[in-house]
Amino acid sequence: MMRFPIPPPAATLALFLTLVGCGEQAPPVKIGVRVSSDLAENSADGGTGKVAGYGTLTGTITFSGEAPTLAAIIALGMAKRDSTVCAKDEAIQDDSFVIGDGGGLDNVFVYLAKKPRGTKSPESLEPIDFDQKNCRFTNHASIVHVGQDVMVKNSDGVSHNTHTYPKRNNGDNFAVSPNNSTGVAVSFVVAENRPFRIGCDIHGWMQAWQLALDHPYGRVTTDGGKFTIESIPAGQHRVVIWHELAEILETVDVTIEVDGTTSLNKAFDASKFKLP
Amino acid sequence: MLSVVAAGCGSPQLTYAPPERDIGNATVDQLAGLDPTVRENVTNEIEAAFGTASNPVAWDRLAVVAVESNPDLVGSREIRVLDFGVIQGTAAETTQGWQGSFRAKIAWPDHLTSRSDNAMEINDTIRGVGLQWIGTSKWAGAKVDDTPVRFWVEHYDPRTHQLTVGTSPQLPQGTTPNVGFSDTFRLVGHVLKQGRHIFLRQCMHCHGVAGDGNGPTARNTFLKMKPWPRDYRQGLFKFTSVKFGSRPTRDDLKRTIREGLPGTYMPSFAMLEHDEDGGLDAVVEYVRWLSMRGQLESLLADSADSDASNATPEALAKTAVEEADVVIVSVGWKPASTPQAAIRPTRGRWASIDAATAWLLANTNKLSDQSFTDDKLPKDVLRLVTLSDESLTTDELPDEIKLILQFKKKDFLTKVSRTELLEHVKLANDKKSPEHLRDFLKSVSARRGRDWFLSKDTPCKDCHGDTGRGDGPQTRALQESKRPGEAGKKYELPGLYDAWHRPLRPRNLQSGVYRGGRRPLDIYRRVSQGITGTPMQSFKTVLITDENIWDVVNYVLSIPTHGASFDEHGHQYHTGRNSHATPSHAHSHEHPADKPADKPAADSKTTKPKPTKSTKDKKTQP
Repeated sequence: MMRFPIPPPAATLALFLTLVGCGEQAPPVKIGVRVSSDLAENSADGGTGKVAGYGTLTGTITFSGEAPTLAAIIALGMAKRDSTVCAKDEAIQDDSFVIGDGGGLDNVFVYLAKKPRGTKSPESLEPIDFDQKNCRFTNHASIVHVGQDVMVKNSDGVSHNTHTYPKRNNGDNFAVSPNNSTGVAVSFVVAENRPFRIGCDIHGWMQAWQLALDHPYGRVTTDGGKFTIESIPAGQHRVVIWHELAEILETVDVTIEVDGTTSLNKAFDASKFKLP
Repeated sequence: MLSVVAAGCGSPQLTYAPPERDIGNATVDQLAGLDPTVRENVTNEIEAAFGTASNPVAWDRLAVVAVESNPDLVGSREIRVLDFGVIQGTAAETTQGWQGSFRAKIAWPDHLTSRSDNAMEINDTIRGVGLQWIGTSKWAGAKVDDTPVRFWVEHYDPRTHQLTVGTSPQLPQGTTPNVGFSDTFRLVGHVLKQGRHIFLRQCMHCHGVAGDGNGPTARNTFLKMKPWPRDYRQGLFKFTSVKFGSRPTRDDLKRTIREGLPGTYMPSFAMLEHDEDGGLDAVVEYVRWLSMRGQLESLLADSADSDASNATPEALAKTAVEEADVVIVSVGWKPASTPQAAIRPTRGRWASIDAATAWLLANTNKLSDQSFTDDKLPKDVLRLVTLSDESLTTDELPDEIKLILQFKKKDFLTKVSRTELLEHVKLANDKKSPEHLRDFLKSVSARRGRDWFLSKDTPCKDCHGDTGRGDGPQTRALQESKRPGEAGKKYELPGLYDAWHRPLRPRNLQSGVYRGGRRPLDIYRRVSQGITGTPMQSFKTVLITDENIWDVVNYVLSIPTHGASFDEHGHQYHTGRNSHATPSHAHSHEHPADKPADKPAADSKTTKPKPTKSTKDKKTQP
C-alpha cells in the first residue's frame, strides 16, 4: 500500500473556492480540499515488526440444535439444464450448510481480521485448484492469499462460467470450456474483509465462497467444524467467524501465547442462520 | 481551519441521501441496516472526505495523478496533483500595493496543457465562474500566518499566461504588506466544480444527486425506465474498453456521454463538447468522483457493519484512508499516470481473410493438384478453410494450428470442401475479381462464428437463443439471488439479473441495436471481455485467438441483415433448424460489375441496422 509523507500542518489549510455567480441556475458551490494526511497516522498494521514468538489457534465451530435436513439442490437426473452431464450420475448436494458428527459445522471461515505484526508471509504461493465437476464447485469454501493463482478448471463436458463478486478487488466473469484441465488463472490484488460469492450464470445453482487474505491466518472448517491455524504471532488478535447463511457469526478477540495453543470453540443456534 | 460563506441564491438544498421511496427491487440506500449511530458516523466521515452535495470536497486521496515535489510551495511539501483541476501560479509582482491586485504567472500542470486550446479553456473557466478563494495572509506575503485573506481573479491574459489576482482588504492590523514577494498559490477543484455544474443540469434528473441512478425521472412510475439509469456507486460501468470488472477509462465514459447508449434512455450529450469549455471532460471527472464516493461509502458501511470497533469516527477516518488507496491506487481507478489499458485486438477483422485471399489467388494451380495437402497451406488459409479431406501430419505445425486441429478432430469447425473452395478460387480468377473470393471467405468466417455461437463451448445461445433473439432458456430460469444477505434464495422473477439486482434481458441480436456501440471493435470487446456487471462473460478464455473472436463478431454482425440462418450470400446454414425463411437456391456469387472493389458489400451491410427494427427494439426491449 502506498504511503505518502505527512505534510506540515500549514499545508492542511484548505483552499475554498466560492462560486458567486447568482445568475447561474446551479446552487452556490464551494470546493474544498481535504488533505487526508492529517489523519493518516501510519499505524502498526502488520509488516515486519518483531514479535515474541508464535502460537496456535484451534477449535471447533458447532451448530447447537437439530440439524436441518437439506434436500439435494438437483436430484439425480432432474437437471433442467445440461441433464446429460449435471446430476446425471449423482445428485447435486446442497453445500450451504454441512453438519458433521457432533454438530460440527463445516465451511465456516475463521480468520484474523487484520494482518498482524510479525506475519510470516508464505515463501512461495502454489496455485490452487478450483474445479467444477457434476455442475458443482468442488471447493465450496476456500481461502486464497493475495497474489496466489487460482486455477479455475472444468471437469465437466459442458461449458461453465465463473463469475466472482469480490468487494474490494475487481470482479471477473469468464467462460471455462468443457474439460479444461489446464485452468484459467485468477488472482487477487488486495485482501478482502469478507468472503465473496462465486457463481456460474449458466447453472444458477452453482455457488461457492472464497476469501482473499494478505496473511496466512485463515482456515475453513472441515471434518466436523474443526480448524487449526498455526504460527500466529503472539498477542491479541481479532478473529472473524463467518458463514454464508449467517454472514458474520461473531468477532472474537483471542490471545495467542508464545508456543501455546489457544482454543476457540463456539456454538451457534438456529437463530443465527437464515436456514432454508 | 478556514471557512467561507457561499452567497446564497435561494436555490434548493441538495442532498446525497437516497430518497425514501425505492424503485424496482434494488438496494438504493447503501447504509441501510446500519445502527443509527454507526450510520451517522459513516455519513460524517464520507461528508468530511467528499463534502456535501452543495459543497463538494476534492479529497487529495482521490484521483492521484502524480506526486510532485515543489519547493516553491508553502511549506515545501510534496503535493499530489488532482485530476479535479489544479491551477497553480506564482505571484510575480504587485502592481497596486497590498489592497489592490498582483499579477501571477501560471505554471500549468502537464495534463492540462495537452490540449492546444487549453489556455483559452482555462481562461473561460476562470472568468465564467468568478473564482474566489481564501488563503492565509502568508500566501500573500504577510508575516502573520493563518489569517484569512480573500483572493479573486480579476483578469487573465491567455497569451502571456498572466493572471491578475485581487486580494481583499481584510488584512489584519499591524501587518505590513510584502510588496514584490514571490509565493505560490493553488486553485484546486475547478474541473470538479464545472463537472458538478453540468451534472446537476443534465444528468442528475436520471442519475440522482449521488449518482445512485435514482433521480426524479428514474422514479417516474409512468416512464418505468428500463434499463434503469446507471448507479455509479459500485464503480461498475457496462460498456468499457477494459477487462471485465475493471474501472472504465476516461475515454470510455466520454464515449458513452458523447454518443449515448442506443436502445436506452441515455441520449447523446455531444453538445457538451461544443457548448462548454472542456465540459465533457469535466463531467467525466465528476462522474468518476461520484463513483469513488459511492464505493468508499459502501466499503465503510461494510467495515462498520462487521465490527463495532470499526465504527468509531476515528477508526472510520483511518479506514477511509486505507480504502481510498484500494479504490484508487491498488485496484480501481488508477492514477492517470498509469491508465487502464484498453483491450485491442492484435489482428484486424479481415487480416486473415485478406491474407488467405491473396495466397489462394496466387496458388490456384497448387490447390488443384490433388497431392497438395492441408499442411502446405499457410496458417491463415488453414484457419479459414478447414478442408474436408483429412490427411494431415500435425507434428511440425505451429501451436496455433494444432489448437485448430484439435477442434477439427472434434468435428467442430465448419468444413469447406476442397471442391467448393477451388470453385470460388477459379471464379475469382476468371473474373479477375479478388473481391469475389474475399466475400466467400468472409462468409466462411461468419459460418465459423455461427458454429462457435451454437457450440457447447460458448454458451451464447443459452441467453441469446439459437437465432439470437435474446430468448434463450436462461431468460426463463429462476436465478439465485445475489443480494447481500439472501444467500440460498432466488430472485422473484425468472430471467437474468445484473450486479445492481435488476432484471436484465440479453440483447436481441437480430435488432442490430447494440448498447455499447455497433463498431466491429465494440462487438469484439463485448465478446472478448464481456459486459461488466452482467452475466455476459469474457469469452477470450475459450476463443483464445483474435481470429476466433472476429469469426463470432462477423457472425453477430451478419444476423440483423441476413438472419441467424443464412450467410451473407443467402445460403442457408447447414444446421439452420430455426429458419423460417425459404432457403435460397439461387447461389449466384456474382457481383455487379460496377461495384467498387474496395468497398465490400458484406461490411457495409452488416454495420447498417434496419431503422424499423431499431425503433421496435427501443420500445419493446428493456
